[in-house]
Amino acid sequence: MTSKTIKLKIKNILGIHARPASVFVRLASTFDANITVEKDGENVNGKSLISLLMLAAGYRSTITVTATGKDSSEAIVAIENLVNNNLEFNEE
Amino acid sequence: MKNNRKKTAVKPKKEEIKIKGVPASPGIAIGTALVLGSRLQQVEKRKIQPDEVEQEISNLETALDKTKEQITALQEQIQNELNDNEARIFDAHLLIIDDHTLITSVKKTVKEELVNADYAFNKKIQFYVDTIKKISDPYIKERAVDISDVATRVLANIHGHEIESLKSLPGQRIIISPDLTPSDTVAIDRQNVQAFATETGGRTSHAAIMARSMKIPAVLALKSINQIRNGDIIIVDGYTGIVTVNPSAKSLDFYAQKETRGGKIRENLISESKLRPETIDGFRIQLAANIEFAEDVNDAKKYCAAGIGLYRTEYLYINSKVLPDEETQFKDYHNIAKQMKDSHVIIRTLDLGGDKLKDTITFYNEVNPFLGYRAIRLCLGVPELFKTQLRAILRASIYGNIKIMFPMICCMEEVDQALQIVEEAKSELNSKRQPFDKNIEIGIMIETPSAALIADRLAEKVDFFSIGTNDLVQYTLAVDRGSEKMAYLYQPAHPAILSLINHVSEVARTHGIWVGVCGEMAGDPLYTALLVGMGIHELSMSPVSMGPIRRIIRKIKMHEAEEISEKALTCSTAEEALEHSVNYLKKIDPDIFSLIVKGA
Repeated sequence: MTSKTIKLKIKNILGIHARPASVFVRLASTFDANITVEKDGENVNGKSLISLLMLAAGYRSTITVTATGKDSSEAIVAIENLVNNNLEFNEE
Repeated sequence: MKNNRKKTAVKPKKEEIKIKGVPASPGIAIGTALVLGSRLQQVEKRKIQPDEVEQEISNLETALDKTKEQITALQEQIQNELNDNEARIFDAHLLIIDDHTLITSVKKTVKEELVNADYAFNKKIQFYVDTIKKISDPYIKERAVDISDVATRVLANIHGHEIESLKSLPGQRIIISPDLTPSDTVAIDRQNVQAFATETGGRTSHAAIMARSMKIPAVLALKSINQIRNGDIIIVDGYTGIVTVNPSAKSLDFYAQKETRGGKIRENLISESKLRPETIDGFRIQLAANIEFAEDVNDAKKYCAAGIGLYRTEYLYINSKVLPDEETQFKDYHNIAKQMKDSHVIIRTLDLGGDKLKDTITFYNEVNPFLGYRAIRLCLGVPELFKTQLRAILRASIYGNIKIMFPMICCMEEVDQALQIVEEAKSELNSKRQPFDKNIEIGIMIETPSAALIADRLAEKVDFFSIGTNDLVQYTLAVDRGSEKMAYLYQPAHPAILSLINHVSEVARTHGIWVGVCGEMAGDPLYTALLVGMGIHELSMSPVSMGPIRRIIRKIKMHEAEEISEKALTCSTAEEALEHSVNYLKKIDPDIFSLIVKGA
């Protein structure tokens, strides 16, 4: 099983709270790969909004995202893009 | 006195209680309290048989589906009625229902512990809510409200209850609540809400925003609302922030009179709103509006503001929940500038941090965020963030009369650097051939004692000053205005504050630039004569305060105001200084004076 990992710094000034977290979860859920997010030793499911909120990933904190599964490379690229774009999405 | 024959329906007389909060929307409401508790329901634990597991889980799934339908319907409904930002919050709500981790673990508990699904669900939710509430980041912390909101719906659906809806109230009611959830505020029965009183107190709280737009009295940050019981008769005084529970006959009488008087005064004030804010001897003061949202422009225009003295752009950032990009900001500024036509619109660059938010945003875990990385410091530290906003403002500047203002300036270097970044933003626009107002005026907030004291040097670099008295008081007197214990020392009339304001005003005069005040002092009738007497050109305030201030200015004689402020400047204490101004107010406008004096 392929697994990819990336470290990302949160540049969104308000951290990962409801809306950025929703956007993250919606994106993560489009991949088959298992996605976990780790911060300060805590590991949560990247497809669960509540778990992601519990991480309390604030501005300038660092998270480690790991994708495991056949589309893990694509997932990591997409997530990297997302986080580096301040968790802003092209909303309709 | 004893009365043994008290067998009639007359309830034992309850004692009158007064609770102090922060006035958030003027007016007085006398009525029946509808107390909304924390809406997380108590759910009974029930042991189930293994063969019941399937039924429990299917009940849960049905309830989740139903909740999803309800939220989607609500979302559609408000997308038409309200703005997108409010509607988007329900996006997160939908994800909570779909949360695999949450739902799987609930199902697991049902199967393994053999308990009812609603209990398992509620227990899990409680755990999340409690944990999230402990998070220090205020944005994330506030999301606990959303989770509770969703959970309440799901539980009501499992139990087959109608959700305790505010959609139709039993009659006129005063809503008492720890806070109002987004579901409450969009669905509320607007005809029957007389007033709000809530325990939480942020200016961004849903209740505050609702009350302002509905023009009903509101008191926020109310201490110990648990003293109020459902059905209690209560009085909400939106002028002073005092809530009276079980009022005595005397209080009822006092407030009924005050409301009649207040109502009449407010009516008169509305009819006066087209009059010039000019002293009897012909000195014209600019009355401008502080606004938080583009929609507030309507209020500013209704009360005939000469311009927007302060557009707090933080709310753009907070409400959108992600950093707004240049285009989003441009549209917003463009919209405001266009509506205000030739009248000025002062856009304050991002002032995140400190009391501007419900709690404090801690970017790092700062021990003292008020003295930390915020406002202009943050903008200079993250130049791209700052420049995005500046480009948006500059691009909008050709559609109206926009001015830029930097918050929390402490030293010359900050002004130099900020101006440098403005130049960079301008040349970026030039290279993209995007037009902007080349002569856009740039000013600074004077809200630290250091800026006030070097105002003469700062005046060389900028086009105007705006004194932010809230922070100026806080930083000069080293007092946290959120602190209940320290409230006594939050003294805008402290001789040190008056001296600083007077100094800044004199500097502005000698340097030929204009100076405004945009803190709470500007909208408080107690200080109008003092500020006018010190030569302040513009008073910028929340639109609802403009009526009383306009009236007072029209009753002031400049030489008297100068005399009052000169006297106040020589006083040794805030109390003495205030006495001069209070006596003057009582003399020139007893009506307004009577509305703002505290209590019965």
